[in-house]
Amino acid sequence: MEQQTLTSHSYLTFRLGDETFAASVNHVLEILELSKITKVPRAPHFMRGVINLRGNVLPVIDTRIKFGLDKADDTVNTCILVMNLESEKQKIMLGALVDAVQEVREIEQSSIQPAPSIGSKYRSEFIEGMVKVNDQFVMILNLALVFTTDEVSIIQETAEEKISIA
Amino acid sequence: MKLNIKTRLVAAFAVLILLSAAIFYMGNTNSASLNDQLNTIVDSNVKRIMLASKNAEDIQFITKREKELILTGQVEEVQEYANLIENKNQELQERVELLRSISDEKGVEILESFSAKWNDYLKVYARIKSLSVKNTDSTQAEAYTLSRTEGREAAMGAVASMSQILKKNEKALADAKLQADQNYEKARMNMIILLCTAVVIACVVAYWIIASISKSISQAKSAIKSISEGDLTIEIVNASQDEVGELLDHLRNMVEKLKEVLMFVSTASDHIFSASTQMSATSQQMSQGSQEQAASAEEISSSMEEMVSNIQQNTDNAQQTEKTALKAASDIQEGSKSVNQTVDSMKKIAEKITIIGEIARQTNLLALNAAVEAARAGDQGKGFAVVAAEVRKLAERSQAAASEINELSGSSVSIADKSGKLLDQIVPNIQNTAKLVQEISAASLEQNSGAEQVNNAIQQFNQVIQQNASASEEMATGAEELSSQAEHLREAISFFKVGKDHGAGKKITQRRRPAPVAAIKTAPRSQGKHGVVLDLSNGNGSDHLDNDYEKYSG
Repeated sequence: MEQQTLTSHSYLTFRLGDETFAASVNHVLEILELSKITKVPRAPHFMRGVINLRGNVLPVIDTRIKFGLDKADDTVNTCILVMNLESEKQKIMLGALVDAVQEVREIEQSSIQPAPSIGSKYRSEFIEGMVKVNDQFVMILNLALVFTTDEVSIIQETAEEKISIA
Repeated sequence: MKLNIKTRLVAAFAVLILLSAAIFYMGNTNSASLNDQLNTIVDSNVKRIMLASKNAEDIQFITKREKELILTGQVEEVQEYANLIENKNQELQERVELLRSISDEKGVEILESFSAKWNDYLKVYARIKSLSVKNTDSTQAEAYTLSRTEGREAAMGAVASMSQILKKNEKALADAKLQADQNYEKARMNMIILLCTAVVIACVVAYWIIASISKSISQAKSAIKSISEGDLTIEIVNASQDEVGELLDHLRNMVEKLKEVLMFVSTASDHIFSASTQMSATSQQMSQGSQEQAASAEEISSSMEEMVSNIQQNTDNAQQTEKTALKAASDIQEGSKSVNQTVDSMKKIAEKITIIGEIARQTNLLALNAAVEAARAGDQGKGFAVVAAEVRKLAERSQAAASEINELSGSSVSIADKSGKLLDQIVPNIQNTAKLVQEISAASLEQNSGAEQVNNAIQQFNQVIQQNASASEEMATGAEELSSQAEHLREAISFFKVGKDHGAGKKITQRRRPAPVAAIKTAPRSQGKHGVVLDLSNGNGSDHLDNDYEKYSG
């Protein structure tokens, strides 16, 4: 598995606004249709709420807000990516709202170009690199960095609180 | 001094009457004196003569009876003779008395002597008688002797007295005759003188009157003769002041007036002639115009008939159109319903397609999940990953197709909706159209009747025009007649000569010919339904009558 990851990785591409992002399938557990999201009080503003995933509470983050994009209405294509994020301390699952899921694509590591440090509207540390697919740049996200531990833990806590309250 | 004929004649006749009266008076006076003389003669002289002669007769008678008395011897007879003598003597005495009453002085003297002598005789007779009564021869002889002597002497004396009276009266008669002859001669001379005077005066007066009248009368006669010969140029000079002079004055006035009137008549006849000629031409033109009008009206009439048939066709078409439009409206309503149904169906299809799209999307998600799972499975999941990718692609295509269908159905729905709305809008329009067409149909019917009326009117118009044409032709004939009458009048007037200034006698040489009748030309009937073209150009372009008009070519 390590070997393979060196040469090529499978990435799930999705859209946020006009941009296409890619995330390693290793962090993606599954893709869910948008279902009812229960709002959680006192949650961070980027957290939409929680959903019930086969009995488990899954916090859902509004990625657009997280990425500093404009808020947009949900569509039929809006999906929840169920991600499994591993940090040094803990292993957490959370859902990320994306505008549309596109496909699972294998991307050569060599074709990945480093992200420019200046001029991007996204924080560059979130982006592992950029790859050109079909004349379009796809930003490969570092999911572990995107959702910081603190934030994630807060989310976790909030979710747990919610559950305990519930 | 103005002595008119009446005065003159009255004076002349008065003189003549006076002279006649003088002659009559003279004759009458002479006759009266003659009558007086004659009366004197007859009443005195002749009567005296008669009485004297009668007396002489009686004396003879008495002397004879005295003789017989002597001769007879019988007493009875003596007495008888004595009675006869007595009676005669009685008559004689009466006559003598009568004669005395009518006698002049000399006569009376003679009568006195006669009476004396007669008384002598009567004394003798009384003796004779007494002797005779004795009736003896002696007495008889004595008586006879007495009778032969004394008796005879006395009787002769008496007779001589009577003869004296006779002679005297015969002489008076002769004197009276002489006197009468003298008177007659004198009276005759007087009367002859008077008659001669009267004749001379009458002749003088008659000559005077005749001479004074004759000049004027001959003047009048020559003037009237000139007038009767038509010469009005004569000069009438009037010198006299009598009735004939007045007559001449009046004649001159008459001639002047006649001249004026003739001039007037001449001018008037000129005018009449020219006017009637013009009228003739004008009425001929009018007639011609009327004929043209008639032809035009005919054209109009046939055009109107064509129009009527066109209108009829229009009416039929409009009715057909109305039916069609109504049917179209109902059809379109049907169509609108169908479109609505289609829209509903499309909406249902869209719903279904949405479901399909949903399924495709979910399939896509599932395929993605599968792909994620396969990717995470690494090499073992590769084949599955390919399948999953294919599935995902199919799902994606399905989704795209579904969304496309959705879009298409959406646009179809909107189009069908629009169509439905349009159809719904069309229906009232078509109904409106049907109504309008109905109105058109009604209007066409009205137009039809109107056109019929127009046609009738045109026919009447045509008749009137024909009448006008014939009337104007008659008028032309009348005008011709009038002009010829004017000519005749001129000729009649030309008989009179009124002078140089006036052309009454001038003969009209140039008669105005009637204007040539322009050919009535109607344009050939235009084929089809485009009305008629009236060619009023008179065949050869415009003439002077067209100058007042502007031409427009259409």
